[in-house]
Amino acid sequence: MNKFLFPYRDLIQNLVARDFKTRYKRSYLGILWSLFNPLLTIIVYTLAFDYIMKIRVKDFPVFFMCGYLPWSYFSSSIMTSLSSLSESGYLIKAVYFPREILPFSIVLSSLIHFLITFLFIFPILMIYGYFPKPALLMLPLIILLHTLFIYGLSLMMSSLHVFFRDIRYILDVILIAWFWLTPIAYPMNLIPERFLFLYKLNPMTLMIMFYREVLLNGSLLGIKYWGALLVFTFVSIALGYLFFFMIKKRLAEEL
Amino acid sequence: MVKLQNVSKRFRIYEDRSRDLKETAINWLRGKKRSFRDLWALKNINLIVNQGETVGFIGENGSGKSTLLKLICGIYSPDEGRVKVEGKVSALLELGVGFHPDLTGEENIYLNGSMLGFNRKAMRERFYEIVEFSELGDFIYSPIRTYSSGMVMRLGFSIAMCVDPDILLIDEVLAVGDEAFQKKCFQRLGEFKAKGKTILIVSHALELIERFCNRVVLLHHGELLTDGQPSEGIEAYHKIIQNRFLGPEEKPLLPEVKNEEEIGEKIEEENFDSGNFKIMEVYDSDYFVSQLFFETFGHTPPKQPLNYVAFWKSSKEPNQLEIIGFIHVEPYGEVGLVGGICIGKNWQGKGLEKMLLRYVEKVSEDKKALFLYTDHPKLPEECGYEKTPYPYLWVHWLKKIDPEEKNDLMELANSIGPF
Repeated sequence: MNKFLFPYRDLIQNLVARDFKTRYKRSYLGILWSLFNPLLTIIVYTLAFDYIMKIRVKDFPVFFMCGYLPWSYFSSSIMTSLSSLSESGYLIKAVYFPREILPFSIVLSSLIHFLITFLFIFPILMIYGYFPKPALLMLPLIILLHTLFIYGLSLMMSSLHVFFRDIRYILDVILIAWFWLTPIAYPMNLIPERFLFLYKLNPMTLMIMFYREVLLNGSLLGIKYWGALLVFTFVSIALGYLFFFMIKKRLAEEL
Repeated sequence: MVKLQNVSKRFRIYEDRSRDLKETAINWLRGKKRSFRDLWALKNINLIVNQGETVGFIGENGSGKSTLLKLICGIYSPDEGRVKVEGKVSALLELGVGFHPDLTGEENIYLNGSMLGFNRKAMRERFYEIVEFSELGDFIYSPIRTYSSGMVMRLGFSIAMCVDPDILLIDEVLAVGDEAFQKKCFQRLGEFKAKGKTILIVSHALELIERFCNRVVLLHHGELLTDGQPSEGIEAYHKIIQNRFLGPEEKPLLPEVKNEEEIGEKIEEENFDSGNFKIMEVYDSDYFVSQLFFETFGHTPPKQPLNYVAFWKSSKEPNQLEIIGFIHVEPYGEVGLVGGICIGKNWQGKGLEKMLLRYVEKVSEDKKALFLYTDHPKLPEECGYEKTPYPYLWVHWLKKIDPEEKNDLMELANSIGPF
């Protein structure tokens, strides 16, 4: 895939830059919003879960942060790339380039926003006494697999959106449900034993387990988990391209 | 080089388009298929454009010109056939497309360039050339949304011209800017041509096409009608337009007639007034008969030219001509003739085939002729006919032929037919 898109790296770069430059255009704080927004969310959830509901989790703010940020990278990528094909008719009908670049560049742009948040992730972790350990070296690989997983789903969803515009509304609900069914704001040990296997089928549970393990415990999950991560990533990419190839041929005329 | 092999492109026109899941699900549960009809925007196009050619595409609106260019640059993929393109393509299909309004002209140059497959470095080298050509000056550093439409078009054109492609596709966008800018564009296109680049232009500006192109392709209802000298194509196009604006009573306009001969014994039928069946031999009938044929059969004849047209001239309204059918006759060696007959639907089953056959028999007096009969399985019994590998295609021998020669003739016949 990368080799295929390689000749178009400048286009990808330009599209990412365009997305960046236009996202915060005419807003006063600009890029700072991609720092403030998650910070405020973390504060709100800490108030609700830690102070009011008194959930028994050690260092709730960092616990929540390590789950919420990867989640928000996932959900915002899917939502923003959803219309990347269906609303680029003006490009698709006028110029030829590999169409998957459109969702791909949106995922990349979200990735950059995600990476920016590490600017406060590490300081906050250190304030709470979590210092980087050698396992952190595997973080880039986790982020890479996470990104590929997101790209696959984005490709699938943006392909479907070309034909079914109400995917957006369904997805809204699904993402809310998915958020609460993933142990982001609560720990795994609160889940009843008999539902645990369902949680393990949820790829986002696995993703978040990886991030927490690396950032909080400074260790890595076993080989079994890596295998599962690879399978989820592969299935997602396969599904993405399956749907994409189905619509690719008629894309220009359907828009 | 651009090569199109038997290319057809179909569009689906949805009658009741279900854009949401609910409707799709309901339709699916009811076992109702999505209703759409197919529109063949291009039908069986064969075209080879060699490097260095400047080809103009003309035709009425909806004749498939733009679709053709979009197939060549890869925006559409063909439903049938193959499209092969060698060399870097730059397409100017819609101006200002791919420009982002909030980005500056400069940023848009890089963005647009990368869509055409040129990297930042390559675009940087061309940057000043593009700015100079577009005459935008300092505006290049302002967001596109502050541009006038003329400025946007100038920028788009400048980018496409300056990226130095091997093949340039232009769709009806040459009317940009003032006269001076247009002149500059043409000068640039001329330089392009001189460098041996390939240019494909779609335009309604026939003057421009005639002056600039060395080859013209005429498309009509998605079919390639003529392909050759600009003057030929443009003349044919004028005829089509002319024909369209004629009132029904004047239609169809008849081509130059070599000789017109009455062949008909009068047939008095309920459905028809008394009148004459006539057949005419036509000169250089390429475009014209194709046009008539198209109106009668809804597709162009694969075998061109057709050299005879049979028509019906009503005695009440002598201006009203109805096409009965078409005949194609081709000499075979010194003494033979082969050909085919196509009869319009309204006239099938009225024994006219026999009449047309008799006519050809008369023309081919001392020649051994073999005939392909197409369209209609009900050939008059006494004629005698044989089957060919094609469905709905029978061969009729006008003269007795010895079996050895028969094989040769059959082969030739098969290569001509079916219509």
